[in-house]
Amino acid sequence: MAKSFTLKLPHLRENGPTCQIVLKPSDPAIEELRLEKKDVPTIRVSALIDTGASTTAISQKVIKKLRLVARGTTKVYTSNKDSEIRNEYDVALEFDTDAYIRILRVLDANLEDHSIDCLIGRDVLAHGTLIYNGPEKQITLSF
Amino acid sequence: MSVVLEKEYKFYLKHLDEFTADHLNQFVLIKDKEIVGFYASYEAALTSGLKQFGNVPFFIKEVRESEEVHFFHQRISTKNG
Repeated sequence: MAKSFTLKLPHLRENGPTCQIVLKPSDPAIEELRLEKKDVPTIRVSALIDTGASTTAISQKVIKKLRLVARGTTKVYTSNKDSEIRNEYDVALEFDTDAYIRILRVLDANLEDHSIDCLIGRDVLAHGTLIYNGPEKQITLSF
Repeated sequence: MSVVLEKEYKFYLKHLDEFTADHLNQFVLIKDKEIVGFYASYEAALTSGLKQFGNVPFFIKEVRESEEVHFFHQRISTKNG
């Protein structure tokens, strides 16, 4: 059965669809950290659901806090520049409903809006349904 | 920010023709310019890398003829910092 949650967002038009999520290292990385008897860092951050982003991106703050290490590279185009190569990391992402993605490849980004530490892209939305209810100023996500 | 795994990425690009001939759509795991293996999934490559090297940087890439490109319409700066 799909897990679903609805958020009332009074500034939905101005700020876009935002939500709180928990990020941590991916499940296989957590297993390794436990074998190495290291603590497992987690962070709760504000995320913007960005249908204009084809993949998910996280801030440098999150990368440092979670002590993530690079697992690859990815090529990125933004609206105002030619392509560039960014670092890729693996994380686990959890929504308040317990909807959980155990391995998610994300890239690093300098997010211009410093109140946001994660852009949730269409790679995450590929797993679920997003309903943007403008008149009611609310969003519903289900997975 | 810099590209952490730049030398592994260059190694991947240099050998891409060989990879695509025999391992198209598989995930290659590269560590320090050495091919560790090819895997059916990202998770399999990640698990293998963690088992062999621990939680350190290593390079995983899906072997494709043309590299997947991601798009951002806004909100990320292209400035390195």
